[in-house]
Amino acid sequence: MKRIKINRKKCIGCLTCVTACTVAHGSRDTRGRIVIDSEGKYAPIYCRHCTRPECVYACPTGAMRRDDESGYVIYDKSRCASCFMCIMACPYGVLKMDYQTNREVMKCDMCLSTESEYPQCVAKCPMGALTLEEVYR
Amino acid sequence: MRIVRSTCNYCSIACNFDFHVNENDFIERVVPAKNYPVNKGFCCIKGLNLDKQNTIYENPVLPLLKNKKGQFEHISWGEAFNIFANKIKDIQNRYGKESFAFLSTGQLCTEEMALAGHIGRNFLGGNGDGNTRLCMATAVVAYKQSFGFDSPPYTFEDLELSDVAIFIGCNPVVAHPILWRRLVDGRGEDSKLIVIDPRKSETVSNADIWIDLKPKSDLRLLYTLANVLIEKEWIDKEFIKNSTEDFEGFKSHVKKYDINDIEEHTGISKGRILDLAKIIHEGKRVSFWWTMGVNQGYQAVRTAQAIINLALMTGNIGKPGTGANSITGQCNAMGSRLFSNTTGLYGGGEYSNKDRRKVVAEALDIDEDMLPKKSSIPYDQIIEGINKGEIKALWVIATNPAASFINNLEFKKAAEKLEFLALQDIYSDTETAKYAHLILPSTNGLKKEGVLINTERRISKIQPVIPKKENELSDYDIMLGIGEAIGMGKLLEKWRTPKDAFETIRECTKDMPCDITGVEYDDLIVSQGIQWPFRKGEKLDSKERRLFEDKKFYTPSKKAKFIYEDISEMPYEQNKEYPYILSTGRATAGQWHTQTRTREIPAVEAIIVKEGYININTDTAEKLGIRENEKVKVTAPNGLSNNFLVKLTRTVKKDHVFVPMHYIESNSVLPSVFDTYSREPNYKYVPVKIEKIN
Repeated sequence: MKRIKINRKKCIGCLTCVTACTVAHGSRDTRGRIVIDSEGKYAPIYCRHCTRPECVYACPTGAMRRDDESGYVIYDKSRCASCFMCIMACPYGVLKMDYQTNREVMKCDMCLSTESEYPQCVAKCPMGALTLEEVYR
Repeated sequence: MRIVRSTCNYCSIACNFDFHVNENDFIERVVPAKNYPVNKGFCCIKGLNLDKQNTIYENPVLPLLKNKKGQFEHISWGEAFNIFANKIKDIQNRYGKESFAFLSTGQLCTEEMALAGHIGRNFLGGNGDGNTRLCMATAVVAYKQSFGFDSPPYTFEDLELSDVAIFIGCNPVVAHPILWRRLVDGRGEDSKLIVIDPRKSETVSNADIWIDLKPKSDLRLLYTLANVLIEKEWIDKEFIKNSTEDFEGFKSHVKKYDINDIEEHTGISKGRILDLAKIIHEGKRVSFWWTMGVNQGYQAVRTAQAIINLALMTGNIGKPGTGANSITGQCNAMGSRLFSNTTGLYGGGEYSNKDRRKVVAEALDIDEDMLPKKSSIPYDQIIEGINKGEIKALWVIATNPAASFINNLEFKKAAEKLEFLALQDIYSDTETAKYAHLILPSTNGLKKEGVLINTERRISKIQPVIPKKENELSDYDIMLGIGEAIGMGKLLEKWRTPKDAFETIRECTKDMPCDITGVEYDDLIVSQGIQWPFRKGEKLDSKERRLFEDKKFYTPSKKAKFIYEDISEMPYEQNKEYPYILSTGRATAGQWHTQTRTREIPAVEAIIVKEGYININTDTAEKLGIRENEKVKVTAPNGLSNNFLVKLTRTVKKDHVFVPMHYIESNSVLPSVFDTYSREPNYKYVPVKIEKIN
């Protein structure tokens, strides 16, 4: 499977990844973000599609599941009870609820639901700080 | 749900967006317009968050008047207009017309800045300048002198068509992300990107070649490069002969710049200059792009013209993928350049030009005598005039000089001295607002209409996305209110609405290089935008149009001029006491100007440094015993000093430091040094000393 690899040293905090994610998903909320660490350095946070996904283990309805074929952690809005256990369980703090209805989980789908079917944060990063890398499952 | 197409009013790219607005007038989504030829469905973080404006920092609806205790109290609009009018009239009666001045901006719609010029210059007879002076004045003067008119020649497509793109003092990855995106997406595989910059900027990191010259050695490098191209006969003789003037003078001028001395002066070896010349020679479509690294210098106009000269002598102008291309800063700097009535008549032309005066007076339906007889004094002289006691009343519109002027302590001194300071802004808590006697709160760009003219001369429409609240006024409404209160009466008849204003100033452009007599105001709504010129009766045959394809320029001879001069001495010398060269610039793509607007973007606020900071080379810091996040005292040779947070980096060289421009600290250490011709401030070269604070 492929994962989004983050090279923090290359990040310039331009937020093009956040813009690209938002725009790709119809200008709704972003699925990723940039924060700063205790030293003030940029730290982009994007879903790792964990091999052992805490969000999936925590989800009581099966809305969050790991797709065996692709290896990606997939979110099914129609099954979501908006309990946000996934948000609490995510060790990276990447999951958030949507800004307008507070009912939906903003979850990276590797842009598979979008026109490009390729992670736009990676495609649009001007510094090559985000790359798509093949990893062993 | 309704969808409203409008234009972003941050930077000079002027992207278009579709705002999805629900029945409660809440903006649910901000979608970059896919079919707009500028941004093609993408945008930067600032535009994407236009809906956040005035959501965290709301602007009051009613004006604020400072009382005797120094506190602000709300008053009605009628009272505010009368106070404004009476104060200005009284001050002008006592001290003369030029005791009044205004400072405007490239952030306003064209119609608004035109109306401000009508009120402040035509009627009140005062001086008026804009924050565009801090940003684009150099390019304006350079183009006017070289081409005969302020005319950036390019269209964005030229970025994509260029096989050699040379960026000089220009960092589009941060400052113009959409322009950068156009280049990355469109450039050919074999194209070369060269960046000339003393700092290893974000754009340098993406370049094929970095010319890492010493700070402000650019003019010498450009003249030496020109000399090499001439000596090797890598020039377009036919173009030079048919379309330019004074090449021989330029040729003999640049002979003085011997390539054997180049490394000592610029840090760039002879071999690298020869390589650069060869790349330019072998390039089929060479384009030159510059921004503030060039514009904000003390010999800036001549540096910009040295770039123009390279394009002229190699015939790289008026053809796809070429040009000497200044990238503007603000969304409507181009509108300000043509229609602010500060340094020239509406639509261009000197105030002394009798024919043009007649055309403009007729279009405005005013007596020709009412038009200004001379250019306004520039920004720095307005502030100097206040400090000398000659200017007593100042109207500041949508800009924040208490933070942004090169020597903001000088502005503060001036602001405290003013008898009357009126501030018109979408925020009432800016650094400048503290000094105001009267605050006129205006609506942001989501609630107004007008046109913006972007860096490639494209006119696009701002449309009201959401309605104004009761008593809420746009900049245009406020200006009309002021005009009426000061007794302009019939003089406002051609200015009743933004559309009236557009049609009035449009008439002024007839037969000028920026002729837009073919542009209909309402046709701009949900359009592709129209680049000037577009004359009455013309048909738009392309979405992307460049100037000078006919090889004719706007000078009387129709030829472009080679303009040059000897390199001047540095205003302040780098020496043992002041060993580091400080320059300022943009920090991140999400920060804009003095951050009054971008502080409302949560994603930006979450990651930016909250106070003024300085980038110091890691090795230099180690030598000085300074560590990351400590504070240092930075002192300039004129005695100004301030404390900055340290951020270590290897993007600046050991004797170079960089200070982001967005913080009030930044402009508190820069001496008042300006370009001779453009009066644009020198933000890019100040020797400083750095001391650790114990």
